[in-house]
Amino acid sequence: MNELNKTLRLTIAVVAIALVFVIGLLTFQKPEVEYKLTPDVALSHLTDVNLMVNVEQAQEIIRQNDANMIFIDVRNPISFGRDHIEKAINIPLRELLDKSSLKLLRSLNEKGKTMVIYGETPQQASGAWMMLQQTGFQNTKMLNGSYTELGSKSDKTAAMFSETPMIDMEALKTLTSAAPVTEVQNTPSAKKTVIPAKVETSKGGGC
Amino acid sequence: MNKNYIFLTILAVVIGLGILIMPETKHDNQIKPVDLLIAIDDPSRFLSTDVITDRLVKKDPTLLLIDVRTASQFNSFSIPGAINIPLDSILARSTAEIMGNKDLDKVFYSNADVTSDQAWIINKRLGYKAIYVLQGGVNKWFNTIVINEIPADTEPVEIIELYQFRKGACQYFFGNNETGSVKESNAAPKKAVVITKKATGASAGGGC
Repeated sequence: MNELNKTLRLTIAVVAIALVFVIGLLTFQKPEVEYKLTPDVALSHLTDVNLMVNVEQAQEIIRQNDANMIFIDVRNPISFGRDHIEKAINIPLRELLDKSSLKLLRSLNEKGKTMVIYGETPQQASGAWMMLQQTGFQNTKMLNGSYTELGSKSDKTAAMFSETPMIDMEALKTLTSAAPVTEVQNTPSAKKTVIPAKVETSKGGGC
Repeated sequence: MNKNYIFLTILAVVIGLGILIMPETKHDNQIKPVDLLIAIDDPSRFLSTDVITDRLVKKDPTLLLIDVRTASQFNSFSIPGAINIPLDSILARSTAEIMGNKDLDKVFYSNADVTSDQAWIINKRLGYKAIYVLQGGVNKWFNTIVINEIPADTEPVEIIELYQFRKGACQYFFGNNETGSVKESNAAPKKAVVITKKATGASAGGGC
């Protein structure tokens, strides 16, 4: 009787453990997307020039019509419908990690295509690109410029978004030094002439 | 014999539970990729230059401006009161302490808003709260607050009021020679320099 009790207890314990594992395995769902890069690696990719495409390079890619380079448009469908780069694929930012988008992105990835992400602003492109980089799409580059810059050649829009400092130190000096107020009012016109010259000192987004 | 079995069962259960709990504790505060994407798509992290200036003028103690540009750019010009944490040392241990401070509204800024937004995304993934991005960056701040063009009298009242606010803020930061408030104006930038020195010393270890 005592012996039976012992074996009975043992089987109950084993069955209980087995149940815990089975239930655990059944309820555990592998998430659709996971981070493939640690934050440190993701951070190092931000300063990797090979992962950036500037406006000039993008225009060159469009001209060459390379089948291995695919443009991904992360703007909203309305903007995309109005106007977009030829052969670009529209995946709005908010749908970037949807099942259908992931399927498409993975198939492009398997075919060895390089994806160039562009958006309304470089900031929008950067968000989508960082998201893709961190979730394992290494073959992606971001357009370091806005969509509107691609069509036009004006530098005005470029200056609006670029990380080049546009601080007029001369205007600041006249402001902080003991100069009459009338001079301060002149600075706006002075500022405009100084900006282009300032550009060269600026470069070097990181070390 | 009986005791041994009980010991073994307890051991197995503990290991089983441990395996179940482990993957969650490993990425303790990290938010899921899907949640990060939703956060990236949400523009509420952007604070305008005027909102920030207003808080600076009111000496809001909960505001912390973080300049993510290089030290040389920071030294040549920065928004008064900001500290410098270059993008590449944003994950340094000294930075984590600042980020973990729940009482501070941490606002990243760079020249435009691309680099600052990248710093924001990295920190957002790590689960930090109360972090923001200065929309337009220091370029916009300088070219709206420091350089302000006088609007015509025919402009709407809001625009004239906005100009007056910006003009006043500029005088607060950099002084107005006419009214002779030079003493006070000099004090503000000096203060900023002292803070920056401390900050650069602390963060220099992690970076280049």
